[in-house]
Amino acid sequence: MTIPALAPTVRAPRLTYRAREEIAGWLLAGPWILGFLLFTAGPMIASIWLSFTSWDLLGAPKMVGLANYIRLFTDDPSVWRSLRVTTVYAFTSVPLAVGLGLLVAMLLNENIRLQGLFRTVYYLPSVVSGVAVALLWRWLFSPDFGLINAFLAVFGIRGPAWLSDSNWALPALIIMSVWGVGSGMVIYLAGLQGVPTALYEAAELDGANGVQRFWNITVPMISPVIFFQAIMGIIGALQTFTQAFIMTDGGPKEATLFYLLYLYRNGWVYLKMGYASALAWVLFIYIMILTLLILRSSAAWVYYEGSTRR
Amino acid sequence: METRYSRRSFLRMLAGASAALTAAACAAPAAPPAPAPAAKAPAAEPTKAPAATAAPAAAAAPKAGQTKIQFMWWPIGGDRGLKAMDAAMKPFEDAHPEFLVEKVPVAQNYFDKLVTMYAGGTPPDVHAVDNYNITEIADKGVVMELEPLINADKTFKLDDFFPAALMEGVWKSKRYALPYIGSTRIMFYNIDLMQAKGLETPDKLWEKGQWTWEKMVEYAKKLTDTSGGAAKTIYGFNDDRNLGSGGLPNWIWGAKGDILNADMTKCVLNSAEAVAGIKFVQDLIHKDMVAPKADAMKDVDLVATGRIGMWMSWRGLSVGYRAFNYKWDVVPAPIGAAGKMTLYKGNSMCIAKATKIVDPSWQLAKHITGPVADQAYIMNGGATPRKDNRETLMKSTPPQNNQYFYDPLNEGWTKMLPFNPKWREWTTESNKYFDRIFLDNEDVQKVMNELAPAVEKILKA
Repeated sequence: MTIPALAPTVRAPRLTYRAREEIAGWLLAGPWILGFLLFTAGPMIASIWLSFTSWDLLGAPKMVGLANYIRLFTDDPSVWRSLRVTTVYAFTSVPLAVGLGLLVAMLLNENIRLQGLFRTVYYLPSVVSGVAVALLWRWLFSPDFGLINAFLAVFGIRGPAWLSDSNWALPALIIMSVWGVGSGMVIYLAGLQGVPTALYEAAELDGANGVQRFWNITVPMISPVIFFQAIMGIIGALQTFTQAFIMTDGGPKEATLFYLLYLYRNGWVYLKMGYASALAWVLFIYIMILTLLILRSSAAWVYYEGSTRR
Repeated sequence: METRYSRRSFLRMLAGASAALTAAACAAPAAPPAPAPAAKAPAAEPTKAPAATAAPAAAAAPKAGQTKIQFMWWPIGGDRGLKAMDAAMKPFEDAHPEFLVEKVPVAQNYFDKLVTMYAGGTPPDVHAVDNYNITEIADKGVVMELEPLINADKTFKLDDFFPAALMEGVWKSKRYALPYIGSTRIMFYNIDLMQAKGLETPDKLWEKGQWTWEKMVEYAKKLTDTSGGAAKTIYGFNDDRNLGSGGLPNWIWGAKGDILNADMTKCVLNSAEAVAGIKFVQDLIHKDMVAPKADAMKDVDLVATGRIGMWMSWRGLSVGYRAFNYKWDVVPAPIGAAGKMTLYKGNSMCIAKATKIVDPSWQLAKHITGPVADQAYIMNGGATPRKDNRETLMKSTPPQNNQYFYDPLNEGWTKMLPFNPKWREWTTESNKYFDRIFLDNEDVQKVMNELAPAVEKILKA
């Protein structure tokens, strides 16, 4: 009797725990990465190439070298006008939003009645869509029927024509930007609650008054939050579009011609996608330079607990 | 039996499901159905009046033997526009069971969507286009040249359209579009306000040949009433103050001026005549103070609230005006130095050059620019680019004076805007110059001397 030989069993090598975790991680992140590559990184890279072309969307792009950039810097006054409008807006609306957001957060950090309700009420405007907000404010700024001029009229002041007046249209949009302070307030609140109370108690024992406590304890302790808000605010403000598109269409007399609106016009109204791509990259570089400048400045005014100031 | 999953096995399943979904989403779409056999010979145009139907049905799959024609347009007046197109389309659908028309209504950012579809290589087979944009897409070579189809179809006659309406579908001597709705720019007037001031209505003056620019200013002054304060002021007159919406050209032409030269290479807005036309509008605002300044118009519908005595507009708005609580009617633009003169502007239908179903697309384009469909548009506020629907137009009241939409085309005293592929760019860029004139009351000649070279630079670029 022969005994059949047992075939040697081959076991598939088992993946290590770390490898399996890694694969699972990549698979979970996969959809987002794919979406990012296809719909964000891909178009971004394509737009670099497009910025060196003349492309009307309907035909094939034609290579024009640096012509778009040369025109942009030397032969298109609207670029500079729109850059100026956008920068003025960013550097006025952001400090306003940072300051007011902090102020509201400090008020709502106090132990007051209905604290939760007030926090919700201040935050609510942040969740309203940009278009709805723009339409609402258009009504508020209405010269003859708007609430703002009606309020001014109570004090005998004849309000300006706001969005119809080239001197007031941009300030009107800056005033409107205050509407969104609620989103910053939530972050400040979190920052304020992280400030150790022991510091305030020690300062009080040393005889520091409220203003001194604010400047010497609160501001330094939440300076990373202020810094974050400033950076994100500037980046967002330099990409302002909806308000101008809905409320003024860049007018009157280009007083609210934001850079992104001008870029949109070139891409979708004038069908100059190559030029619009060049405009987009100039804005990207401009935002990057400003962000780097603010980052560099942070060493002088942002305090990180545990870090050594150089 | 209860199945328990460990955290790791749950994550594994989740990751697997995500990957599967991603793969499914990224998979190539199913191959499109093979094109249906060529459509049968052109059918005679149905002549039955269109019946109103309900809201459009959702896109359905074509049945066996049916050819799907994708048709895109923008419904004027929202739901009203959808119903009008349904009514216009029904006779075609009844007469051609071999076709399935997939209607794609696009209410907002129509041209953006159209351009994107062309850029993506998936244009609708047949689509509406605002005549502002015809030259733009014709110049890019994405729409079909229609002469061969027109010449091959014995049932189709270009002569059924007014020559002025036909002109807008031509670029570089080739036809790319057929007119389907349009209107002469016309003056609406508030009858109640005129009666309150004891004024003879302008249509009576027109019939006597006395409805002139001077008369219009005289009327505007009498109608203007500032006694109610800024929020209740009644203005004698209003019109758009730019080139793009068609507001200014009437006054420029009426003063014997023009916008561009004949071959569209030179801007002539700085000529003495054009300046006189623009100055006339400026004076109505700043000197005679019978037209509202921009701030008075911001976010307030002065027409709907009965605060405008006379205003220029299109017939397309007249159906909406029927809800007003005052009586109104229309009269042609007043007679200026150039005599009887008004702007005509319409919209058209094009066939995508990339369509694989040329004959079905032509059948559809022919129908939706034809006499039966035209009746549905007229009832929805469109005026007619066709000669054969005057009766329907006259019945669609108010306005009672519908003949004034028809007569300028019939008698040949309309003028068309100088459309070219850069129309949107140079008219948009001109707005800031007109703001200086109409907001800041700057000297017209000085501003136009700056605008003219700016426009020429765009035209030459």
